[in-house]
Amino acid sequence: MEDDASKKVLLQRIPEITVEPRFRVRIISREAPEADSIKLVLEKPKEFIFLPGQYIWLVLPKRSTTRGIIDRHAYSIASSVDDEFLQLFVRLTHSEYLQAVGNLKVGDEVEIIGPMGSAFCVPPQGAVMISGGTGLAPFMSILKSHVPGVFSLLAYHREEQLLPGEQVLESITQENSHVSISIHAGIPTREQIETVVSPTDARPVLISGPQVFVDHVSELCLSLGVRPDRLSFEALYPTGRMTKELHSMFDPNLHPFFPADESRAMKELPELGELFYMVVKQTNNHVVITDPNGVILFVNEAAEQITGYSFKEMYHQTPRLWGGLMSPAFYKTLWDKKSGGEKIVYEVLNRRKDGRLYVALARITPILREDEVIAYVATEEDITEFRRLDKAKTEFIYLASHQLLTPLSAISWNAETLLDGDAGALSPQQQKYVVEIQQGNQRMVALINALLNVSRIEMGTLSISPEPVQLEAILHSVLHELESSIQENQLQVKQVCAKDVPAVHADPHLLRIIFQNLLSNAVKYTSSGGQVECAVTFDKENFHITVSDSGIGIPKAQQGKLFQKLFRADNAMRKDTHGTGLGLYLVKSIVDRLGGTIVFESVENQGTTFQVSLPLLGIEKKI
Amino acid sequence: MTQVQKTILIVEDERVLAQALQMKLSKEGFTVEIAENGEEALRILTTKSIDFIVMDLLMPVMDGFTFLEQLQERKNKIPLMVLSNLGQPSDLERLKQLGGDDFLSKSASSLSDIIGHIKQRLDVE
Repeated sequence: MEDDASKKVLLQRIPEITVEPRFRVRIISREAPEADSIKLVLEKPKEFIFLPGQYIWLVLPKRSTTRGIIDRHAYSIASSVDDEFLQLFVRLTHSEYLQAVGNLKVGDEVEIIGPMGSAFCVPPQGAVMISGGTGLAPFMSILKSHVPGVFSLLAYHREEQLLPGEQVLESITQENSHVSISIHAGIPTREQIETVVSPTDARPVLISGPQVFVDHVSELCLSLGVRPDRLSFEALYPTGRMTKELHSMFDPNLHPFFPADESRAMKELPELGELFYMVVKQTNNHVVITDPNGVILFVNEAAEQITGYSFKEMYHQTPRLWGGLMSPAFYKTLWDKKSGGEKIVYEVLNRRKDGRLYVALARITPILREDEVIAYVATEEDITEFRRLDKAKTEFIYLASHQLLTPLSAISWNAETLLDGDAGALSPQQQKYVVEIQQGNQRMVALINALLNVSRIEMGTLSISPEPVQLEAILHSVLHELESSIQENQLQVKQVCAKDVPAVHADPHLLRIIFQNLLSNAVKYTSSGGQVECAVTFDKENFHITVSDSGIGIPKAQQGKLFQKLFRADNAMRKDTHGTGLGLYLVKSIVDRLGGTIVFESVENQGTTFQVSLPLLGIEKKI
Repeated sequence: MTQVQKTILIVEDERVLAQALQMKLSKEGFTVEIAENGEEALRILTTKSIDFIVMDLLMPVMDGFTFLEQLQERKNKIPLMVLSNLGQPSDLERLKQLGGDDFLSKSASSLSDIIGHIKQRLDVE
């Protein structure tokens, strides 16, 4: 790491574009690893921190054009840094500038300006800015930082593509009467340039865009009588074909090392670094970058929107600016984890600048260089609405379970009272109708319970409370419930429980649902006089619930869909029209959540065997 | 009947359900008191001698959970059972802590199940 003094220089540089970090350095060595690229090793100025991958502007000595002499012509070049030197990687193209770079020799002195976004120096009176395509980026940074002065921006885009961030430009002009912006498509004309530059204006003219754009505009400016010393350039791309460039960056045929060799890609493709910067800045996701102490160095546009604070207001603060509402212990745990280099995800209550509270899902990732944390990147998502819906859903389920089931109990109990003859003996006809009422009612109760369980599973709110359970007792009670159907179908039911089943640690409520569904299916889909068998066995680690029947079976072709929600096999639908198609889906979901397995074997018209295996111990409590 | 009649307190806000249960219990020879919520139940407990409590959970004024807390504070010794549709494991866990672990699901139990259960708890035939 650098010493504190130089770190300070870097921190102060970013938002206030007043001092240009410009240094004269000597070329230490020069290598040409490939015919079309060179690597330059330069002295590293001690007064400034350079980070690897930063774009550094390399200024060449005076350059003559047909109209005059321009003393500055810079191109952004991706760099790498070690303790002593800066390395610049340059891919040579036909561009005049890059050819000149290619001609540099060991011992030559060059000027560098760095890092990216700081090459334009803005005096207090303001500036004229002319951009082509994404060359707009540094100008947007300047305008959004509310630097004092009068600014005229002329932004160009190709006919077929809009400029990134045009809406942002609109809001800037509305906020600040000292900023005028006009946007054009196509190639800049002399008439258009004339509207913003005049020989008598003292403001500097900043030009940013693809190389051909910069060359064209600078020629026009000079022809309009602008003094060469008023012009500053930043050429972002060696060619004007932005779209083509973009595609070629990611074309594995052109760059077989990408993304396998990321660092090489970054070095050899300065445009890629530029693109990543734009992506981070403009992505719809909130991104905040802090130093290792949590001090904010960068926020993107989405972060400004979510928190309501501007970059300027957040800069050099900590995320406490919009947080800090949780208990001190919460933040301490968070900080301990974070400092330990852990990636963390948490939900937190935050406050926007306008005072409105919101629930955020936050993720913090330490950025490591070798093993050292050099920064943190935090992303946040406003999940207030999601939480509200989630709560409404849970409340609905709660309401449904109570409000729907209570009247059903009233129907059931009163039907039972009638059947018991408590209101006078019923005729056989009357009795038949009341039994039907009661059966319909029971189906309704079963359906509601199945739906409630399915929603709990799907919302992930199905809690697991393991306790020592008596498997045999659950089995008996479920069979007792099915007694009337068993008798009605004259089924032979056999229970086989291993004698010495050890204490099983599981959730009795969920086990009951498993037994209930497997056994009621066996009873329902086995014809009169058939057999149903339920066995509970165990081995070292698992216990097994096996339910077999001599029933209608599952058609081979449909066996693959058996655990799908709402699926019912054709023969099952013919035999019993009342099924819901939820039972086995529920069983499978529960077994999965308990960390077990379920398998089955079936032959149509012969029978089916299901086996559920669950761990004897180690079913974890989940709320 | 020569036996001393046992008195059962039903704490249930749904009148229809309370009445159905009351009718059955009376037929079985129990004396029945009905309270519409926890607060009323606490009042009845101070004036009447109660042998068993059958209680719901979701009730206006004072719900079943609060009622159980109150009973715990008063060191209640009267046996009780909870009869409710709130059967989620998290509810059951809470009930266990409040001494309400004898639980029957309202929608899954018939009146005869409930009566049988009460008789068993009170050890009467």
